[in-house]
Amino acid sequence: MISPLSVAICLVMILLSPLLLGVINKTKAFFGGRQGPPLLQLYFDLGKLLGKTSVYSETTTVVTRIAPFAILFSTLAAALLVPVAFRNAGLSFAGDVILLAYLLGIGRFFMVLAALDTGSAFEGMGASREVLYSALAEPAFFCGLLVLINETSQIGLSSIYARLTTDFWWQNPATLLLLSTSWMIILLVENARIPIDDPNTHLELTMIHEVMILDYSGKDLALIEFAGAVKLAIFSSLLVGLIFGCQAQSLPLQLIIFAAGMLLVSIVIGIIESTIARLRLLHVPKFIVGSGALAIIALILKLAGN
Amino acid sequence: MQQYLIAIALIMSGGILALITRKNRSVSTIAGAGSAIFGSLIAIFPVIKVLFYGNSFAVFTLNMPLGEATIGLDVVSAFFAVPVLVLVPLAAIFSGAVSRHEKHSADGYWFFFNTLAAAMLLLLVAANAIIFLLAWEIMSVAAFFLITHRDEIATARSAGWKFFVASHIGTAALMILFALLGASSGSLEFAQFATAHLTEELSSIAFFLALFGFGVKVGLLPLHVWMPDSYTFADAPVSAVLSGAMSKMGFYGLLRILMLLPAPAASWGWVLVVGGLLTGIYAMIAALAQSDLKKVIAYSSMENAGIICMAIGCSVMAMCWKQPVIAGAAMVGALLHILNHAICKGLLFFGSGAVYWGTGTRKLEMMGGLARRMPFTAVCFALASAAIAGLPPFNGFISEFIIFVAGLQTATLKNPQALLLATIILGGLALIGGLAVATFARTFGLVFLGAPRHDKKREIYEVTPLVRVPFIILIVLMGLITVASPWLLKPLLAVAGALMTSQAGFSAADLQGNLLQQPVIMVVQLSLALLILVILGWQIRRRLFSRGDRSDRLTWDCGYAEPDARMQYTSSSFSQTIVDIFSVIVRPYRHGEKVSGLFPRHASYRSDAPDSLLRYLFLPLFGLIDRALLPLRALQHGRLHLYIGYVAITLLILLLWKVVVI
Repeated sequence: MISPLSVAICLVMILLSPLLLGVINKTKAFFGGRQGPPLLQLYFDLGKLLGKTSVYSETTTVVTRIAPFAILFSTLAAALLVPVAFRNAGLSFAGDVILLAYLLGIGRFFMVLAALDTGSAFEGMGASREVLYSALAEPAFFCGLLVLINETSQIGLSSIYARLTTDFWWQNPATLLLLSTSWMIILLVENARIPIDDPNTHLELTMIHEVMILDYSGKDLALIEFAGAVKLAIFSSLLVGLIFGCQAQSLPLQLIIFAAGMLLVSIVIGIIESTIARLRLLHVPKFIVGSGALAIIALILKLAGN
Repeated sequence: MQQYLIAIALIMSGGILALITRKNRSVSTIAGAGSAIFGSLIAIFPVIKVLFYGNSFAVFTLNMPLGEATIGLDVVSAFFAVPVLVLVPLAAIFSGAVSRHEKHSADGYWFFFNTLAAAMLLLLVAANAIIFLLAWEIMSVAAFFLITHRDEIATARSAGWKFFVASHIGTAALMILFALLGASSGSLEFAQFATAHLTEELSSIAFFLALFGFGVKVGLLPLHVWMPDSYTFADAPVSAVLSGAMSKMGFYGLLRILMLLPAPAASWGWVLVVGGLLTGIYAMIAALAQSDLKKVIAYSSMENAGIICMAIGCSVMAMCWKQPVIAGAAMVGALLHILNHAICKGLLFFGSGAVYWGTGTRKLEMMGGLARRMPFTAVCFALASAAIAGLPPFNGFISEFIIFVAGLQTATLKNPQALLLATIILGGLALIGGLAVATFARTFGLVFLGAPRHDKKREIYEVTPLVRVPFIILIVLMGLITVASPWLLKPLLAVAGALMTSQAGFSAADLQGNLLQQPVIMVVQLSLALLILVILGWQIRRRLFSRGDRSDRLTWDCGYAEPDARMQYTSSSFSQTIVDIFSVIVRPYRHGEKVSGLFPRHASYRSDAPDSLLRYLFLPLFGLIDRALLPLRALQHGRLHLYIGYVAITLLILLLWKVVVI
């Protein structure tokens, strides 16, 4: 099903997604006692990068040139499938959540290939970590989803979210807590935030996402950075929809609550990044599997409740 | 039906002709490959007629010396004939095209190739246990000779031997199975098996015998040990046929037996689902640890077998719970995946053949940067990798999507067991899928991208135009299946319906294929739109916005100005993080001394991951059996008259037994 209004809201969300990173950085600056970069910093960066030319390594092939478009468009397509502002997603059908996960998978596949395309040891390292962590995060995400499917008896993301009422969460606060923690961890993993990865560091040996795009510059880098912001918005909106099962019927109210929710998620990410140190790489898999364990506990609670 | 039998006869006679003319390579190739291609083209007509128009249920009864035997082509047989009829002619083209540059003598190659093809086609129409077993054995023996075609290589001989032993242990189980079914129904006809009223225990025993016997061919977890070696040491086109078509015969047999047995028990479904899950995870981790290109692809066959098994298991469970929609979706997903796997695996094995042909090696550590020298192969391999890793918009995603949807629907049932099943299917598929993306990103990235690691002096050859034909046909088929998948659901539902009517009592209408059609259409539309947008965006950028871009700089290595291909991440370093986590399962071993001092003169490092089940389970087990049976060697002395004495004594004992006991 296609809902034009939701497509419009989704487009607005996509356009505003760089703001989320601005909020995160402002929060981090607040905790660090600094002024911090302006809220619109990523827009300035993107504008500057789009005006620049790109430099490619001589080892690279056409894969490096296609990858930014594959990454950006697959992420945008994924955004169309996410319920926004407590309404149906722009596009919704039975099993759309699988397509959502696999669209993000395409982006990852191309990112990894582009990293290997440069023949750099650093980028190979990042690629190797990325595929491992995402392979662990995906089952955890689906386990959490199963709780919602079983609760609502629906298999489309929009119809699941439409049936998540606040009443249900009042009756099962433990499930809500477990699921939102689990998905918060997955958000951090998928978007390469602290404690899994540090978006600010330039120590290549410790990085995952940043190191894979080390050889990108100019317009290509702008596309990838923008795709990263949209991906953050996708996961944040999934989390907002889960936590604030909204009953508001009027569009303005829905939009306000949704925007407030997104803002809150960004602030929480900022607080996490300010207060927690990066995990040692060896401990990251345990952390991700832990999120899966939380989802499975939620499933068991659901079973006990049935 | 006649057409189908004519095709079998044609393929077989072409094989015999090739055997007679084996001294003359070109004649033998034309006879062998020509008859395989022509025969497959003939056989495709009856198959399409049965699949798409249904109901042309032609049955032939042969009058054999020991009673009647029936052969017939129904929708299930017709469906499984498709991978055979696609891969056999394409492999024949590939083999024929490269044979001109081949130094190894052709010997019986075409004879065994055509025998394998004919045996598979005969197997599919056998509706009688004797013919089925006969075709099954001919198929296995022909495959053995194809695997050991390069018998001067010791590893190829040992790979063939493993296959031979495994396949015969499997056949032994099938013989017991058919004897059991035959004894309880009083006939060896499949049609009679269905009417036998088996008790619950007996039908469970029959199912597990079938699972064991057919599981060997499919490559289910402990029974897969022959697979990686056989697919590696067979020629690339043979590996494609073995993996894409022959191993699918295992699924055909399993489903056929399921059709003939009474209503399935939930325990069967659990065994299939959990077995499939373990197979898939084990295979992907083992694949990541391999350093041989063809072994990686071989383990991926095992992974896909695991996925298909999980889907069939889900369908069986849904049959037990009387959920026709879920059962139908899971079965359709399994069937479509069988088809997709055959096509992708054909492409991947052909691609590995082209790489071997071009570079002379299968070692991942020796490759890299091949995309520049072999652009055609690189594109084909990339498409096949994305498809087999289950990424949209390719066909592999469509079938995984349908299986996922079946899993999601299972989760809506308010039944604790159903929720557990859904968790296994969704979590398992997601994990396997994630590892598959890792495996194929690694394989494609390390073979075709980056800086070349191979010997610089060696020329790299791209495939000749004739060899490109099978690649192009497979890619066209891949595209067709993707675009036409909403319409393919109908014949697939008919096959699934045929599999379920007898035990679960579901008719094709109960399966409600239209529930599946709409999401599949959405998926296809969205992913095709994505594909077009990406290509459009890339082209616009390339043509309009690329002024001032330059591509003559070094890769950024923290300011290091003299990068060397040896500094790249290698295949073993790429997978080390993953393999380390699962080292309990894969148990890789590493050789190499510690590097010490500031300027070490010599350092070496080597790691390998032989199949751990072979190493820790089967080799000790067979060693034990070997030692226990050692005394029997005294009976084997080479004196003919004593051997005749054994025969005489056996006959005497049998005669006495007949007189006294019965």
